[in-house]
Amino acid sequence: MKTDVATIADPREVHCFTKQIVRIPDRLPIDVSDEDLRRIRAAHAAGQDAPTICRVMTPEDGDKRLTWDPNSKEEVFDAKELWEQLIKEGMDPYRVDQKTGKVTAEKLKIFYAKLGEVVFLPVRAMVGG
Amino acid sequence: MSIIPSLYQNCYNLNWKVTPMGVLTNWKLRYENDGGTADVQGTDISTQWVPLQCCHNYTNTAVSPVNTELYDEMHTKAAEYLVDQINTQVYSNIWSDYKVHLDNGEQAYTWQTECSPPVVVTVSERLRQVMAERHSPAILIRKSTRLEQTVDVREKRARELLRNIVGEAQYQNFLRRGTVSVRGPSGRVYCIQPGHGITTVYHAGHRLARLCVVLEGQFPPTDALVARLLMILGDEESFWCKANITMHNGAFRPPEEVWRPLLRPDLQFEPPVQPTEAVSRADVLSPQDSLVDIYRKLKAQYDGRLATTPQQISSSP
Repeated sequence: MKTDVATIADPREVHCFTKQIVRIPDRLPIDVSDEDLRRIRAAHAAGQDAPTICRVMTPEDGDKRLTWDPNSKEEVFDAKELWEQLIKEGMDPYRVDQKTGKVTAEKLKIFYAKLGEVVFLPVRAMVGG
Repeated sequence: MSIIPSLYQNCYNLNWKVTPMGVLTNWKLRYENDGGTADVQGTDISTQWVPLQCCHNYTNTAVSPVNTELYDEMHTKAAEYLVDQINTQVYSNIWSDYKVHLDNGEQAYTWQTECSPPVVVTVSERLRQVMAERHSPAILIRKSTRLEQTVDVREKRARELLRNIVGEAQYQNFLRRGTVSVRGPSGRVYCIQPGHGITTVYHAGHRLARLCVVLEGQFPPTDALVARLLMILGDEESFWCKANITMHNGAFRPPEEVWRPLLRPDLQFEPPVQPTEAVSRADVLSPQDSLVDIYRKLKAQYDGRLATTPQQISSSP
């Protein structure tokens, strides 16, 4: 199928607006399937212990989907490192939640290991049109 | 040379219509209008003849040579009068409709010009028309906003992300309408469009402002929508700071003290009801105004409308 998707050299690379490349640590699983995302989201809704979903918005492939387990120290360490790098490159983390059917989003200032779902937005690329 | 060809030439130039009216004998013809009357009489006329009738459309029902000759013979006087009227009244732009009476003793016909000949519009009148047209509301043709299926993997992922964020019902609404509406923390309702579309802000059914924020780069359109959506929900003030703002009264890039109160949830802001253009023009303009007067009045009216809202906002608690 022909698409407009640019060639992605490395799926673990995030090309930021600042022309910098942030690499996703190898220990964090990426390319989570839709089925897994639904399962994790259902676990969050049920209050069960489940990995944190993180999406990084990129122009190359829409968004990078990665997860980390808040109970794994290594993954949390890598996630925090990635978190700080992305913020440094002009991305802002927003925690997304649906409470009683109403969507809410909260801009996060500090890193939390246990989050439901977080989306990194390229806020620096947003300008007045 | 008869005057009839010049009359026909005038008819042709003015897009008039020559209509056959039937067979008449012992006729008496009278042209009458505000400028006076012209009588033409004849006898032993048993052939079809062709009176003049003013109309917009010119149809090539030119009379036969016999009728032309007849016409030439009979209507010279009336034609002279009409040509004179055409030359004096039409070109001096004071034309008024005229009546035609036809009587042969047995039958009588009276008819009136169906419509006035084309009016020669002066320059000032034309400018007045142009100004009126520019103040008229535009006719909007709504395009189909239903989103089509895409083959772009990035766009598919972006729509899936939007679906996860806003839920199934809102997502189906987005597919139908092409926009997502969300209520911000300030209570204002934002209508967000994908791509580089304008974000419109509403309050109590009134449009407050139009915000233009674009996502630079080769992002899929729905990603731009998601970015705006999350930013509005999570950091509404930053979104307004980044945006190019057009207020509801047309003010572009207003100062911060104008738009920042709109983010206060406690502010009961009610936009002034704008008068319709037809009413406002009728109040302001009169046909006797010169162009300079019209311009000054319209400009004063426009400036007054612009000055209304910031004062109201700043005077609010």
